[in-house]
Amino acid sequence: MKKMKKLAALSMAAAMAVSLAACGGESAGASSEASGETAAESTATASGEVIEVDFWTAPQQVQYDLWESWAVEFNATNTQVNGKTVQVKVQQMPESPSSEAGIQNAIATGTAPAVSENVNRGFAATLAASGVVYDLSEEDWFNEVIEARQMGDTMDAWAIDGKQYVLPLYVNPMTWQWNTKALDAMGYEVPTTLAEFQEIMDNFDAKKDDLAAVGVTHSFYRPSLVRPDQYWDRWSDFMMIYDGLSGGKSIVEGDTLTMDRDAAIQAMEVIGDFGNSLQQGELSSIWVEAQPSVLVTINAPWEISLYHENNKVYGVDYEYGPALVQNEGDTPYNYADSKGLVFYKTDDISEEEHLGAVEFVKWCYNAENSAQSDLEWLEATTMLPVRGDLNTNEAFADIMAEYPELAALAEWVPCSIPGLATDKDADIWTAFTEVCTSPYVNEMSQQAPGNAPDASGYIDAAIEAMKTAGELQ
Amino acid sequence: MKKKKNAFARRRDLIGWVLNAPYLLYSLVFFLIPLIWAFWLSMMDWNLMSDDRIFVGLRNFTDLFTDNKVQAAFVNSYRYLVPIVLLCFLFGLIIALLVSKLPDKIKGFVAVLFFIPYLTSGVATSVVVKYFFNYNSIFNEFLREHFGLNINWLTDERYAFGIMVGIVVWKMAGYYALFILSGIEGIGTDVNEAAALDGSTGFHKLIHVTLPMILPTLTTVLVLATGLAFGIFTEPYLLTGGGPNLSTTSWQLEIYNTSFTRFQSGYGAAMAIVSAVQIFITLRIVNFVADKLNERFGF
Repeated sequence: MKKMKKLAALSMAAAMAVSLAACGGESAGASSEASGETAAESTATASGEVIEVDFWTAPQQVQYDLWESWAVEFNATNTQVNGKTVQVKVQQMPESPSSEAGIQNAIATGTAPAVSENVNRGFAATLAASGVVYDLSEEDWFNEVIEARQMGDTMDAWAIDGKQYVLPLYVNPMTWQWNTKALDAMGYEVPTTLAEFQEIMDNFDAKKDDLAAVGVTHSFYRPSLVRPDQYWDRWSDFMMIYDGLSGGKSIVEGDTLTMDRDAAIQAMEVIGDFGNSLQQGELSSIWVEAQPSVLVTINAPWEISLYHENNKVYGVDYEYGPALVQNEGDTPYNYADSKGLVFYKTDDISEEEHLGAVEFVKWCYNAENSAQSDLEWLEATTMLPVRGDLNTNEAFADIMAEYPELAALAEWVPCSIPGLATDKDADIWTAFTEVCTSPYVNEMSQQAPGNAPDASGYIDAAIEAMKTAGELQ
Repeated sequence: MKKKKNAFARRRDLIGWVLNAPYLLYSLVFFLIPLIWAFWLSMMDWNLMSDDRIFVGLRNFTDLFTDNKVQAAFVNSYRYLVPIVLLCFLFGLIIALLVSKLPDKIKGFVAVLFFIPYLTSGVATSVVVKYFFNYNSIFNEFLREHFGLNINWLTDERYAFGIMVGIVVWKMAGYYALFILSGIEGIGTDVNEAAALDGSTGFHKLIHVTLPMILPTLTTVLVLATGLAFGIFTEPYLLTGGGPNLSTTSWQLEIYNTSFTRFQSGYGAAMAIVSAVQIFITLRIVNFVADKLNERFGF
């Protein structure tokens, strides 16, 4: 009986040990699978015949499909590095819980890819400060790509401490999206200057009946103005307005807050002019409604296909307006919602993998292929590729004719300014929202449109909060 | 003889260790090592990516005391605790009492119906709630047209917090009802008959017989609901972002934002440790009170 008990105990212990081992084995397999590696390919790598390059795309399916198709084509070219064939493996970056956190986790655990897209300037600054991305400034191939895509004018705005870490892929100039029918009902054109905008807001209440006839109940839709957790929306509302009114003056340079106080006050008071006609309630799919209920929003170029599917016509239902400027003819600087590629530099990524990644990106964007690649990108995503010849290159003529809104946006690409080059970007705009936009919106909500409260106190508080949050002077 | 006994004891100990080894290994890998690592991380200024790991000692912990987000998370955890525990308990009890009166044929089916919200994804629930409270939702259109009420439910402090609590209670009350129902079903027929003979029925029976008899079950519900109140994340994350003015934020949300949005992993670890201490102390107090009650009723 004792022997039986002993046997049973040993059997159970063995069973548990086996099941644990099985779990471990499964986990290792899953990990290997997640990195896109198969046993055969592992053997090939070990034998020195193939260099596997992991490429992470944005979490969106459309971007994955596009990069996957390019990778298949590239792999068929059997490009060699050090006598080994480069094979690119594409996978969507994990959003765990955000794509940035997914990259952070991958770097921390040694599973980062050789290259990924979907990195904005702020996060690139964080990566650069952490020393985990390559400086591309001195790379010949990088400068050739810049030349092929005519990106010279844009690249200065992408510099981080004088170096280039990102190859920008797309840019959405963030501007105003006006309700054309509402503007017509009010008897106005799309405003371009601050004075024109203020005239519209001064008359918003007086024209309420005309606006109601076309279904408009509110002037501006922006519930996130009071949400510090949605700090990224400050890029496309406050920063866009500030960029236009300040003539593109920087907000942060190095470790110094350089924001122009007067322009910042004016920018806040543009928001203040919406007064109690600001729509703070959540709305869904405003622009595909039969009658959009607001006069203006911040644009969302990634929705262009959706508008087309819902028979919305650019110039009839909606149109983009430039960032407001002080005087007619001023450059309408705006915020660039822009992301690009970075090459990761960690102990787990070999030099050969890096070189393989470079070969793939070169193949996509060299002088011969870049226009075709950018065209395919534009057709797939309706987000403008970062290149200086969108409105002049014949390759894009058809799609620009098909999407006049893209042609309008392309005009503003050269004056689009990407986010702050600081690894404290999130802290800065969270603090800004907490002490400035959120309380300011509460105050302005007591005022009629066109009567913006004085924003100087809020901006002064914001300047101090931004300095503290961003560890700036 | 003594030598033989010792050998037996050694063998018994060995088997005990062998049988416990998987659990000990599990605890070591998934609890102890991460805990030690979290303590180490909490004393660093590090974003998990950089090679520069700056030791800051207890600075992350001292900074917590002046952080308004941490203060809000601390206070809100109790603001959540009180209504969630009370309402989960109340609705759980009501559901359990109602279900216990149903015929045996449909009792199980109805109990499962109340359990469904617990199985529903918090994300799905939050999305539905978001659409329900949208400015252009049918509900809000109805309020505007018939009552002239224009309420920004999720951006108004007066309502946003209540909505968070409401979602959690809706989701969890049916789950806790199952615990309470099993307690009620476990009361012997002899007790019920004795109560009936003594003329104890209805509310009197509930207070003087049913509730005291299921006190251990209620203690479990109390402890689980307390833990739940400290773990709120999905609802404020998806619906309010912790606002307006931090009124709906929670420890989990602030830890997430600190660690994964602002990449202050060391500071986030310090927040996690302090929140764990708060949860531990609160649970000890709840347990202490519950134990006293149990002792009083002979459990």
